Amino acid sequence: MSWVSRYRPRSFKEVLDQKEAIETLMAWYKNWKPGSKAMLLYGPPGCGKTVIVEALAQEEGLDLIEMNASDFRSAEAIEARIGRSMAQASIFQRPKLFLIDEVDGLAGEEDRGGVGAIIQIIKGSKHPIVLTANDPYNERLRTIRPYCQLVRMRRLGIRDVQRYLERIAELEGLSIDESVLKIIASRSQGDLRSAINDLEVLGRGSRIIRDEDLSSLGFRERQTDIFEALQAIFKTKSLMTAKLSLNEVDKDLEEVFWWIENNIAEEYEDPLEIAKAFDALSKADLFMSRVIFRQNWKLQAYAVDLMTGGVALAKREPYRKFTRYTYPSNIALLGRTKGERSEALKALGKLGSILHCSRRKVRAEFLPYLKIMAKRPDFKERLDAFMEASED
Amino acid sequence: MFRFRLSSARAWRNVVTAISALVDEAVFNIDPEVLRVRAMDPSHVAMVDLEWRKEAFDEYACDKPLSLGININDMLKLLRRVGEDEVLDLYLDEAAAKLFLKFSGKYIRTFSMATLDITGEEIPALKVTFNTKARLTTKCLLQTVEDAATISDNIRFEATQEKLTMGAQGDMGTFSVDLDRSSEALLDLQVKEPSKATFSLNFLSQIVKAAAPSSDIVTIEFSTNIPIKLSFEIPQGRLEYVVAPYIE
Repeated sequence: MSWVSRYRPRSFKEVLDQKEAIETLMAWYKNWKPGSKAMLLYGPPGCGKTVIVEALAQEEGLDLIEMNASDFRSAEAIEARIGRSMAQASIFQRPKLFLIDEVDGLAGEEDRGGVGAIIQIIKGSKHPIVLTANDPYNERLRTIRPYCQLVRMRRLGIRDVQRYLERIAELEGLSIDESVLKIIASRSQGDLRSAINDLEVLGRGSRIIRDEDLSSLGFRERQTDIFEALQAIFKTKSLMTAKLSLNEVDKDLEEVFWWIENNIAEEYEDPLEIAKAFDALSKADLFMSRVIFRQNWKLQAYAVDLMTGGVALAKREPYRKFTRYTYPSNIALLGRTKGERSEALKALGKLGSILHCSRRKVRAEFLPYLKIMAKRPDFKERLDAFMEASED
Repeated sequence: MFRFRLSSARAWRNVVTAISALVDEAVFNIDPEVLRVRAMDPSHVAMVDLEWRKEAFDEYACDKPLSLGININDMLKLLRRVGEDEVLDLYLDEAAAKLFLKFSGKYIRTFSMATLDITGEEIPALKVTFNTKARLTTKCLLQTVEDAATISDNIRFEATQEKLTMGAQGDMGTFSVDLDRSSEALLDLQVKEPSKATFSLNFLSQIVKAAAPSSDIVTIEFSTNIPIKLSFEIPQGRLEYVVAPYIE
């Protein structure tokens, strides 16, 4: 048995940290009835998402049905596997709880149907369902989010990870220096599972572990999520810290830009600071557009410096408060209006080909007049008929 | 070492079919006396418990207990190739982790398939006491579930001292069958307390269809809103299913 499963917490008490998430999960479970939302637990790897659900099942005496979203290749597979059993009780005569792990791993474009199937299951289920994900703002989960209550789990602290490792080392009878445990813990960057795996690799080799044994573990690079990057930018006074925060973020620069844009006014309170931050951001925007127009990627470095360091240094003192950073509203808007916009684009294209000009020209020079003319019902009818006729 | 011979390969196909109603993969637990499969569907709605004693085979040899992971769908695919009156020899090559199926009729055909490295989920014993026990012909039960399936996705079982009623209700209409003590299909009925429960045909009809070729008589046991147990009588040992009730 691997150490990760041997030393897995069996109750809430044994789970490290995550008190808020546990309380929210409990409250959700207690109030759940058919038709309620599912729970979407999200947070970095190894922070205990699956573990707290297992602990909930243990403490409440539930029949936990665990599966991984990667088992589902298609909508049919989901339907066959769980769809037909969402209205059935358990043969063990205990309340059931479903756990679908790593829903952001529903692979690729062809699995859009899979997301739909999961939504159907959430809507029709007679049992509570918990989903887990690393990144809830993953594009694939956009349509699932409205059916879920989102709960964020924090990355574990290095100290907590280290204490957990100390306990395991003691139970396994390892002779290991505190300094080595500290290195393993900090390398894991809060991923307890990977930390325990590292310790196991070393501990299975020999009971006595010294500094030099650490070299047998490769370097583990870890992605930070956008929330941590934002926190670094908004809470630091150091240009370097702010700049480096983006190094391992799993989003492209433009998306990060909008995240910062959307949250400046959430974090900063002094209007002067907000103005300075937006000023820096607008300059970053200028550089970003020059990167594209001139295809001069050297300029991107300035955009990064301005949007991270520039925004960070706009404040006089960091705010000692917790800010819930929110998803960029304009990206959300673009997502919502995707259908409408592509319809509009198609119509412009059609008019363009009739009027022998570009879509841009149609929009700028013809559309305003067409809109005024369309206020007359008879003209609107004829225009609609005309547009329909030219469909072919 | 593990091998057996069955003069009727069809009988083995029926066994594998009976398991396939619930799972795609299963662990066969084999010891010198008996071959056993206990498996439940991934969402814990139904369970199958199958036992074939050594005597049920024409030849059976196993020197030590072992667990074999089998892809049930794959094995069924091979068994669909069985012809009339063919003899089946099944044997394990432990070193290669391969299972061989030899069909002997007019000539000998041999298939091999890989075994799976899976450990079955430990299935705790079920603690259930039933108020109703009815023994009836499998044919009657099969017809009933198929009738009910034309009307609805669910079937209702209801028992009183006098009779066993099975029925369904759907958008199209209703269906019901009454079996009283004089019915030829109902061989025995014991009712401690009137009972009523509903089950999904999704599971039940697959189970009854899969088990029907192996067995003529089935005993069903149930109580109000707890799982139902179906014990199909087979000469070779045991074939039982448990299905959880439908939540209204």
